[in-house]
Amino acid sequence: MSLLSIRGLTVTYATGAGPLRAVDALDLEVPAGSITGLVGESGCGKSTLGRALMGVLPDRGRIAAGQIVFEGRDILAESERARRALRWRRMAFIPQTAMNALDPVQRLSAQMAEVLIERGGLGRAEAAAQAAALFRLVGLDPARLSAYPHQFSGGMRQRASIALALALSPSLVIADEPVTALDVIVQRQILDVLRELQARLNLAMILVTHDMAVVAYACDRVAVMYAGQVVEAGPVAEVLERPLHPYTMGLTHAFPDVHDSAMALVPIEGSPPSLLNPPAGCRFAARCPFADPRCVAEPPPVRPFGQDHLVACWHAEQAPALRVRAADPQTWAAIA
Amino acid sequence: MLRLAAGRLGHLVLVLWVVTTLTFVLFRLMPGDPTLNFLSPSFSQETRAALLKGFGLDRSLWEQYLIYMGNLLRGELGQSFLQGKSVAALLGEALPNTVILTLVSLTAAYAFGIVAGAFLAFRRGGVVEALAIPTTLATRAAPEFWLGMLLLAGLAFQAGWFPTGGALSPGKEMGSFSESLISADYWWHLALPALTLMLFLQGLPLLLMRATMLEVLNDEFIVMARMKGLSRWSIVMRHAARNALLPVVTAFALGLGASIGGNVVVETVFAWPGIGRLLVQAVQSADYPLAQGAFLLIAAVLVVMNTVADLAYAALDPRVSVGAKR
Amino acid sequence: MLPWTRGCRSVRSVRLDPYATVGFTIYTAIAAMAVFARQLAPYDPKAILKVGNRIARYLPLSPEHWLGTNSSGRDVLSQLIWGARSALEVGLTAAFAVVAIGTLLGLVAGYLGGWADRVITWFADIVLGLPFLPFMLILAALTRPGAGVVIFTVAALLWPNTARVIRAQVLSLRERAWVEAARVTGCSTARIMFVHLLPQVLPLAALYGSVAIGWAILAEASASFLGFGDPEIISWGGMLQESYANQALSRGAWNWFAPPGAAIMAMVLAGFLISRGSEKLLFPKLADQ
Repeated sequence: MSLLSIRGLTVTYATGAGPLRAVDALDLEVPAGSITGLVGESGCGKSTLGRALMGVLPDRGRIAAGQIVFEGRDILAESERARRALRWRRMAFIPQTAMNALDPVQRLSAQMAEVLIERGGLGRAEAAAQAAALFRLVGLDPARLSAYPHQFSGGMRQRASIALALALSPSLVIADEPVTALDVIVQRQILDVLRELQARLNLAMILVTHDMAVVAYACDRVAVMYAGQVVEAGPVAEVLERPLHPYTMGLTHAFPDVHDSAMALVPIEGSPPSLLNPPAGCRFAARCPFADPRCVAEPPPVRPFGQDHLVACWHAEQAPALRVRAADPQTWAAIA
Repeated sequence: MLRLAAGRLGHLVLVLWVVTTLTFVLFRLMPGDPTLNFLSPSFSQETRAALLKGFGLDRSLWEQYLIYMGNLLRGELGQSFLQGKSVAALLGEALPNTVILTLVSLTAAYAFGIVAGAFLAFRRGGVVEALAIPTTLATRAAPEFWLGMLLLAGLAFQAGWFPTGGALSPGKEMGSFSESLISADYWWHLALPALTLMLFLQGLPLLLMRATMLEVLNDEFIVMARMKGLSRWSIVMRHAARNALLPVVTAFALGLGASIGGNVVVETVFAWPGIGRLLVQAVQSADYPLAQGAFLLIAAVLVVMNTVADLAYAALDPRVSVGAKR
Repeated sequence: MLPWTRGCRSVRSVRLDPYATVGFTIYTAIAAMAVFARQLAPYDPKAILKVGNRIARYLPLSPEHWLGTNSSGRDVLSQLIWGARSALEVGLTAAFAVVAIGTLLGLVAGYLGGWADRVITWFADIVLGLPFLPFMLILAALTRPGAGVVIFTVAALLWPNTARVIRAQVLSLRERAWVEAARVTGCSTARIMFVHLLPQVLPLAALYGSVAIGWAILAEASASFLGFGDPEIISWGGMLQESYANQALSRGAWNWFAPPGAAIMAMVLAGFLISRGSEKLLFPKLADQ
């Protein structure tokens, strides 16, 4: 039984030129006790999805359709009050840049206390003790609680954000590009912290990122997003070693692998389609080296393939052969 | 932080020194007999002799300057030509009136402006905003003495609800300032000039608060606050307002300094016995020692308040006061 | 060529913003009043009018006198129209002076940096320590009352704000590639400052200029009100002073003292509106000032 089931979710932004469908009829299952990576290039809608789950969209955004079944209830069908009750207590968020996400004029101790007391119902002394425990949990010295955000380094701020997110013991934590703004060494450290916490507290985590390496390192499962939709999903090992969707094949070759210096870097030419007027058929067709007229005309449905592996592609059956061709940069250069 | 304060204070002393020197030079540049600066033909022989000595008017310019600075530090500003008292005494009588007027009107203006500004930040778009902004701009654009004239004509002369000038009704002379302060008559007289100034001054805090609130409400930590499920009230008061208030507090301190000098016209319209009015009277009647003294006092207050504003901002913004330790 | 065409495009788009449009309309109306005063004013503003053989004092609104007459029998509307002239003269001159000084010093401080910057900044701090009206009064007392004192005081005391902002912009422009290129190809400092940088900062300077006009007019009105204006010239501030001194308030002669103040307010407001309207369009990313 999944902790979180998203069915047919559509999120639109009102623009001067009409509604922009940032997330379009998206389906996703997130099981309890695992880290699910949500990977895609910028503009694919993954951050919007995170914010839609929390129920805090920017002014011009709204959820146009769909269901979000969390812990057995469709939270979209509930009142704003009910949703607010859930926030942070059951579902928490780790933002991308903690510098801007932490209140600059409040000490960390006050920010922790606010969440623990106001939303957790703890007393002042209990809250202080709990804050110290949380800091220790993420590897920070509790003495630093009395500091202001600007006195921390980037990595420390991110740890503080994690501590804040875990304050009320949620069952789901959404981390929006938690390591993108950090340097490589610190990235590893933070990812280790996340993995350790997830295992220890048996959380479910959604790790939003554009970096396949992060997914490979930290996640159990992965969902690949493109132009507002999930195009492939499954266990990490399965998806990365035997990708079924051409976009995933491109992504796995688009990032340099420190260990495999012989692997060719394959850039995927072109750019994602307009989300104001999405194409009628498969959205990846324009950039796909294997697309045929059917791909352009008909959108492929999401189908299961083997055990626990979902893909939306007309050519999934030919995946093994396509994989070989995808490893060759020439295949992709032919599209440009 | 201490180093910052020391630096600012040093800067303050420097600016004060330059301003006082500049005043000295200005008054000496007058065409004609420079002793006219301090001696009026109406003074008695003894007074003249005393002042001559006290200000060294028979010595060289450089010595006069030194004596002038020395006198300033002791609070010795000379004798008023026309009002028969020492300048320092006159200023001392007038200053409290100006301070009260400024404090009351500025506080009221800021209290109103902050609340109205925060409110407007919430009600974005729509008729309220479209009307409120130009109206506020108009109050800032109007000459404050004209606003005073309108209020005076309407509420005092025509409606008779308020007195038409002065600080106290004739015949109600008070012994000391503190007595005036607790008399209803004083406050009744204070009402119109304070209201005028308040109308004129509220525009700045209103627009400033609105602008900073709008910025802050879009900041990511506000989004985070919403994600944490904090109540709307908590978000606005604890997070948004605190961040948005920083510039407004600075503006208040700056406003205090500027108002003391800018009250000149309002005090004149309402014949309010403050320093501004004293300055105008002095200048109109060529009472140079009084004019010089009033000017120096106003300038000093301005400079001091500017420094206070700087220090207040540094103290309130932890990013400045605590500094980044990396 | 580029900075000029960008400026032209900005002007066109500025006109579309409602605030700026209203502002420009007001300016145009007042300018028209000033330029065509002789044609628009029904009477000579200084002529003492008579009804029969009695002086036409305090006449109420009528078709002959849209705003009535004042205590000395002069037509208020004519005075109002002619007053636009001195308002514009003082306003434009003072604003131009403020902008010129502020831009020049801002350019020098921003581009040359070092001791020039320190000296100018220090100088600006001193100037900001001088209270405006009192200083103007003292000057008027020590020299001669009139427009000259007003213009001088505005120029001498209000330049720091413009200079500060221009300086900030120059600091950011200084690092741009084309400035580097100019330096490397041997352009002289003066040439870089005046031929390359100046056109880029002019829009910002003009913005401050439009607000400075308002401050200048307020200063002139205040000076006149306190009795330090030029008595020979018809000005809005002078009208307010005359009305106040002649008990117009107690007489309820609203037709006399309300319009000149409203005219001043309109002119200052126009400056605010234009600057608000153009800020967004010219400088969408203008953050700290």
